Amino acid sequence: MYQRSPQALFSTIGSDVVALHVERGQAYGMQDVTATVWTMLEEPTTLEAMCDRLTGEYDVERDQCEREVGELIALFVAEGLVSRLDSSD
Amino acid sequence: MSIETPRPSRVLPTESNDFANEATLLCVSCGLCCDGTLHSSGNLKPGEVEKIRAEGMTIVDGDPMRFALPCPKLKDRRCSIFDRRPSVCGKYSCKLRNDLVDGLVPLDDAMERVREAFALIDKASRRAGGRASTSDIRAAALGAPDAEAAERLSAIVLELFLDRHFRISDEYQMFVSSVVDPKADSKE
Repeated sequence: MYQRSPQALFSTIGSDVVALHVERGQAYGMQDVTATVWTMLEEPTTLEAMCDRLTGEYDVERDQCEREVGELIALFVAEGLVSRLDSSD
Repeated sequence: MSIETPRPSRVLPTESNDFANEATLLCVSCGLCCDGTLHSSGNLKPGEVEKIRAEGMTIVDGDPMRFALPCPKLKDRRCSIFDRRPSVCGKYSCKLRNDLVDGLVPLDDAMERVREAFALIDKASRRAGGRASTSDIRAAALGAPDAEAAERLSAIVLELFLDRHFRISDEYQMFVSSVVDPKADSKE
């Protein structure tokens, strides 16, 4: 399960997201699906739950969704924007 | 941090009957290119430096020589020295104006983007206690040590919005894209 880090401040510009890692001072811009994934992290969630929603909204195969969203989540974690809560995902 | 004179009220005209064309209406509703929001200075030709200095504008040394923004000759979003203004002012056209002229953005949408910019500027200024100048906001966006995180975020949001909708090219934009997106092309 994943959730946003308390170190990540963010704001929205229309459908886009701008996030700031408070401690590191690094800023990030997110658009399209990236911004959608960030929005889904409002509450702790799993990769499975996110892909359940994304495959319903976009024309994407399940395995591709899990692979690409998994890569994105891994990037978020590496950048300190998202924390992994447990090993259940 | 210096306290600048209060900004004029951001009241947008709603009628276009009195204006020559939509681009003119957009420009006199905006003024962000002149008030220091989009840019911190404007280029001068060698032969016009002394003339512009004589107008009371601050000259910035460099190659090319420049005049400092915000421009003191901007009055109610209009140029008070229109027939004596720097040559660059007559040639400059922001991305939003270009998109309007090219038919890519209708006037209503362009005006809405100006309103959005005003709202983001007000938010960024309020974050800094309502006394932030355009240079202060820009410094906060770039990580000034005395800028709090929330203040910096508001400033970044503003500058990204300006990059996307107003600033013409990478040369003038505040931020090089560094989007966290596995599919995004990386900029070298």
